[in-house]
Amino acid sequence: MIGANLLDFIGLALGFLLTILVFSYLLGDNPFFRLAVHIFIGVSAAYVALVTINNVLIPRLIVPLINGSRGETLLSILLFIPSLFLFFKVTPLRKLGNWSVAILVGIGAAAAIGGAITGTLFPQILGSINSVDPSTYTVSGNKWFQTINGIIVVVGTLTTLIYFHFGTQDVPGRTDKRLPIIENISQIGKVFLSITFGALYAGVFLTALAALVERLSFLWEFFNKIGFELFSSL
Amino acid sequence: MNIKVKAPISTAVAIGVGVIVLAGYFIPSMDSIRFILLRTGLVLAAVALLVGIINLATVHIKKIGKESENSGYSLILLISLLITLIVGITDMAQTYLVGRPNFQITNWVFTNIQLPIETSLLAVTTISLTYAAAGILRKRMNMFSISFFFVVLLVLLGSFSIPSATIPFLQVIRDWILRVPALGGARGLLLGIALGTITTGIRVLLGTDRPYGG
Repeated sequence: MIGANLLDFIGLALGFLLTILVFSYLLGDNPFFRLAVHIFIGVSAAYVALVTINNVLIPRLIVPLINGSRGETLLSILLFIPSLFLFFKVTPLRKLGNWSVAILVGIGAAAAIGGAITGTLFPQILGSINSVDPSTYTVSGNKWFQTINGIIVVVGTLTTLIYFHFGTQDVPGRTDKRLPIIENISQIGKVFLSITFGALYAGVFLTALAALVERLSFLWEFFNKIGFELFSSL
Repeated sequence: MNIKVKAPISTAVAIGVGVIVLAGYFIPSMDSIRFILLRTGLVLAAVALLVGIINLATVHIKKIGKESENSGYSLILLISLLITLIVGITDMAQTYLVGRPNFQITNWVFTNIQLPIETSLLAVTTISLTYAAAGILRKRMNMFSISFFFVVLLVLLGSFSIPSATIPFLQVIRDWILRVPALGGARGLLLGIALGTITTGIRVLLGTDRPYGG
């Protein structure tokens, strides 16, 4: 019990020390902050490696190889070969690992296309259509208000998309500027973008503020804890 | 015409595997092959992550050897990496070999080292974000920076949930901003990202882009 309490206290003291090291950045970049960041990178990298081994490699590669059916064992053996070749990427024979990376890139590209079409493109287009479709409006809300809001959403979507259109015609004697109509519409898109980024910025700020409050209350609790321990030992 | 394709095997593998996975999204009979290949991709991505971590360790080992100004930090990084790995592997061995699931020490490392640094780094960004928001109007005064600044201000003021400081009117404005103009802009961004992803994916599947050393 004493051991557990001691471990808890060491953890608390370590957390306090690391918090102070990171907060020292408020005085400018310094060796204490860099020390905390390097500890963080080391621990995070190891933690990610452990989670990957425990949650992916053991259940999907090792366990089927030992306890799986004949098909699963065969599939795991087939998976082992490109996995082993992937390790050549950190050796001077790195070219031997290229075909393993090619499998990964091919699958990744196809999954990204499929995911973008089914997960973003169709749902967002459907959402835009629904925002100007009266049959999807709520009964309790004002219909005119909902229509105007829907139009604003669609205008925002289209003008933001147009803002990212940077194609120009290659005409001799003319500058490589966009067409005037595209340039004007993109200005409206820029306003919508500034509103979106403002909303996102406020969200990130609130999250960071919550973290700051949590850290400050942790420091306060730590000081109280030390005070309590000192008081009880007296 | 003499066209020389670099790394033809890797290119053929990437295109072949990619086309099968993509076809699996649209042809129901190829769904099971798509699942097997996606599982392969998941395992390979996990191994690639380990390879990345080995590369990180190798880079820092080389830095220590050079005895540069920052070699001390590299040593600290490697020590923290090794200690966490040893602790985790010990916990894992106890779980899988002894049959007693116990990740207590790994959780201790996460709770008392990683979490405080992570949260503190996020907390420090509050100060940076405040400085940046205050400086935006000083550095660039135009319609876009003004609308950005006022949206930040309105969303923040409308988000207060302290009873004495709550202004219902501001909450209505905040909700409207988030539901209407911000949604329009975000939707445009998401569609742009999706279109960009599709274009890049098609370039990889056609063999125009070969980010695997081809």
